[in-house]
Amino acid sequence: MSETNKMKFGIKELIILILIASLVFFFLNYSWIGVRLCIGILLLYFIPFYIFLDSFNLAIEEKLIFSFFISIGLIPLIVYYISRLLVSVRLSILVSFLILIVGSFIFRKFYKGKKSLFV
Amino acid sequence: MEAARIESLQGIKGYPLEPNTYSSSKGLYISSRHKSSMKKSLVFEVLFLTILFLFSVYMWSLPIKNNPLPYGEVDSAHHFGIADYITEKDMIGEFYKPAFLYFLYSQRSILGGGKISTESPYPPNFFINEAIAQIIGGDRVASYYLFLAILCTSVILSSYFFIRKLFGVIPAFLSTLLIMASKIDILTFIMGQYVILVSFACLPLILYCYYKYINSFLTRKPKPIYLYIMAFFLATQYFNHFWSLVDTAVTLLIFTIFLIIKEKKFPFSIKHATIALVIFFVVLGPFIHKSVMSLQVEMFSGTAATDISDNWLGLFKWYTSGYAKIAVGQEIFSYKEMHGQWTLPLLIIGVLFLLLRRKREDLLLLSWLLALYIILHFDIFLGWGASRLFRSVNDVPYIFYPLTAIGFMGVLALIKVQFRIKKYIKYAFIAIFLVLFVNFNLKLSFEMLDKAYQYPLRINPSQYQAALWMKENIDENSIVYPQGTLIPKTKRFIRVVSHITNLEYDDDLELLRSLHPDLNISITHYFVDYSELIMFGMKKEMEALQQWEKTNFANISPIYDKNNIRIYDVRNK
Repeated sequence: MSETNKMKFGIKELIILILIASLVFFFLNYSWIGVRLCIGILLLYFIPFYIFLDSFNLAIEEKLIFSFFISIGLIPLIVYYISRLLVSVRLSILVSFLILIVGSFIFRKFYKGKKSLFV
Repeated sequence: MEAARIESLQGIKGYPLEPNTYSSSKGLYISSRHKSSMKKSLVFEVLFLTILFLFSVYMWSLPIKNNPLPYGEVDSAHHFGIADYITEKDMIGEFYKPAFLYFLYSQRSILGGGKISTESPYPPNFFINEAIAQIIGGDRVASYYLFLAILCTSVILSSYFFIRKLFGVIPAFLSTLLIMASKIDILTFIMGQYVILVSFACLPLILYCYYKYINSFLTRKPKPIYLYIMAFFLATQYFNHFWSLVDTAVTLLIFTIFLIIKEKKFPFSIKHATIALVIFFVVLGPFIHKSVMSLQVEMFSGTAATDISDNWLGLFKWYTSGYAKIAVGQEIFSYKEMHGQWTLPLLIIGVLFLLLRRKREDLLLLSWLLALYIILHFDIFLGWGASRLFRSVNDVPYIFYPLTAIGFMGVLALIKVQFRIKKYIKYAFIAIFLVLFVNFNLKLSFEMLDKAYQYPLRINPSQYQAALWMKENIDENSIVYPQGTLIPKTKRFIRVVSHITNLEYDDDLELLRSLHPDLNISITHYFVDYSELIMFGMKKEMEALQQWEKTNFANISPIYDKNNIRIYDVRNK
């Protein structure tokens, strides 16, 4: 195994460790409310825009931090627009999440590596 | 000469005399020289940051962890009420349509009470974020306040990232520690001005993106993606509180001027900047007029205000005399009270080092400091009221603390001894820093949050249960008069928990009638509350209230009678 591969494996382990530590922390301090919130934040406020930003030549830590701060601005906005059509906020959150995930994957698939305005 | 000057000051950056190496394109910080040891240090760094952030969330969520009932001052009840209404009704309607919010807003609006729209003058993002948290967390109160703590401490992540990338690990850790215990932020949090904290949390990332773009542009390999991402952060700022955009704009302007002078060329492409602006305005979409409205409010109250500095001597002070005239605790303007006197020498050293070194990242921090100074003195320059400029006080710790940490590294860099000895000196200095931090900053900050909103300064269980009962059993358009409830913020929370208008002050009824003469407003219910009087041990007042109750409701049975609270329906009286 090369040095670089060892490094990558380490990062994955580290992320899992952080996730477990966070879940334990939230459970011990805020019970299942904390755990639900922790998972919800990860799913809604990190993953969709992380996948989207993964299309660009950015460092992992940049993608992680950028995705959260873009999300706190854009996720409620997307939920707002979708709720204009669907009315139910709960349903709008779910639909927003699905649209963002699918949209980000599609964008990444067709965009990644292509030279363009956004290089 | 320039190279020698910079070399002599290299020690300021991160680990003394150690270049800050990380892969710019892929992945985390990877040293080209010590991959195996870097891996270990990387693990420690990430774990420390995780612990720091989780501890911050723990500390900032203490007010709700210690007592699971809602709390807050000034706008807190209003913020909670809007998010909660969205969650409870499972729809995002017009924010001020429900009577309990409309009346509250119409009373307080300086746009002209009684004639206001039922739409909110603010973008919906903060409220929807909190409603999402309530839905995901599954608890009306705890989820709201826990996410609030996460949002308000997110500046720890953005600030750490910014300082780590530009100045290295140790300045990042030290400055973030100070930010975590920032009394200015904690007071703002306790006072319920959450949106300004969330908005300012984006500022370090905006500066980072601009810096990255400018660096790439000046090396003829422009990476406009950073500028475009910056546009999204600007939108996030705007959506939470537009005021932080003033700080951002002035900082970026000054930094650009500095760069034009230093590099003798324009540091960005007009095409890229135009695209970024287009992204910003497209994201704002239909909400662009919301903050224009807010801006009018800010400017209106700013120019009409008398809270401006008396004279030009204010230029020689960080806060002008205008700030002494605004209705906040004056300790917030005291360096000693807010930051601890011990950080001042380090702050000055930090500024001096940056002034001497003047690398691009140094100019960025200096621009930020200068921008903040100018904004805080807008009362002198532009005649704007200090009560509006006061919002920029939240920006103070985010620039002061990195400068303090850089000053700390500067002191270390000045010590000229062997590398091995220096390592021990560095650890000793860090230990001293931590001891001072714990004693003068953390202890008090922790205490402030731990003791925040103890009874009777928040809604008590009896009032909360009664408010929940009202939500289920009383029509939403009712007008409730609280008799016996003493504290205005408690009344506000009874209102937002019950979703029913609960008059806060004695003259509120007359005020509402004058604002809405067409609505035929009258009291429909009385909320007779002994719970606070018992808590305060106010026997005389209790007897007086009993007498008042007997006189007024002799022939009426209460529709609710539990835990020292009785509710009377007086519609048919």
